Amino acid sequence: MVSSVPRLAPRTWVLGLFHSAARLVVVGGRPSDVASFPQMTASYPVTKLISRSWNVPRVGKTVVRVPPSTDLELIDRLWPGARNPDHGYQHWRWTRICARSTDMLAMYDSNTNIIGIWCSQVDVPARIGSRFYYQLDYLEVSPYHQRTGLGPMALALVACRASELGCDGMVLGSIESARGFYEKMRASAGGPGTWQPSEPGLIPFHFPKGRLNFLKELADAVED
Amino acid sequence: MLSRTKSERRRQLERLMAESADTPVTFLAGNPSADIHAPSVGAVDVARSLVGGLPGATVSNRVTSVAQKLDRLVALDQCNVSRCRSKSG
Repeated sequence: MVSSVPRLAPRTWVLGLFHSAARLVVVGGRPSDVASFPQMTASYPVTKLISRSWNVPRVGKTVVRVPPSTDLELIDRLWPGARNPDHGYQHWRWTRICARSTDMLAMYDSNTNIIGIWCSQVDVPARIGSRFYYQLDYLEVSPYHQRTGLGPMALALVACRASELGCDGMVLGSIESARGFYEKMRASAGGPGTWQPSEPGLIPFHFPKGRLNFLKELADAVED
Repeated sequence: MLSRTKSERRRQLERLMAESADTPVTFLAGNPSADIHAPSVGAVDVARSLVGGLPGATVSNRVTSVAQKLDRLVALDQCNVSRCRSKSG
């Protein structure tokens, strides 16, 4: 089912966390329940997700980490050639994407391979009226895990992150080839209020509070 | 009651994963055009490729240093553009 997945380098957790700390800020314009690591700086986007693990159907044990640059460089070498050329995103490079990101997390399997990764590139959640929405700017499941159905789980973990930050929902602009997926995940078409993706040609979707909670519960249901 | 909800959600996740697995779709969101403006090849790579065809030729440290600075400036500029977009949006 899963074709040969190259192994990532052994974890260098401390280095990885500090490497990313300088580039990350707490995303949120409202109180959240995010716990803090006393040894980290106040700007580090602490997340409870890194202390959890999930037993994902078809995949097995999965954890979430802030990806160190060595892992980003590795997937930039391994993933582009394996991506579907018809989907028009072979030029994506996660080292560059994450350099502009304020919030980024990766899913790892039990062999320390990155199997999914996402990021947000805004300093604070999008505020529409009195509500805050997590803006999902990039999300990709490893091309080596295509057809394992990992997408819903990835989205469920993003929902966990959004909920953790105290967001009321999630917004995203989808490329055409991913439209069917978000429709299947029952995202609401269009943006909440006047929100629109920053680039033309993207299809706006949003997950309101109830749907965000549903996604979060999907991840909670398979937590170890 | 809680465990019943949990098992129901697990079934729903499995169903969604099974449905998605049948769809040859890459799961991605975001801004596909933003990254295309970034140079796929950096200045350091260009400098190296220029001398790549010359036997025995290497890129001097000075050229490498300048190229690295150029790459950093490009990256910084992209970062600023991204932030401007975010603020204006």
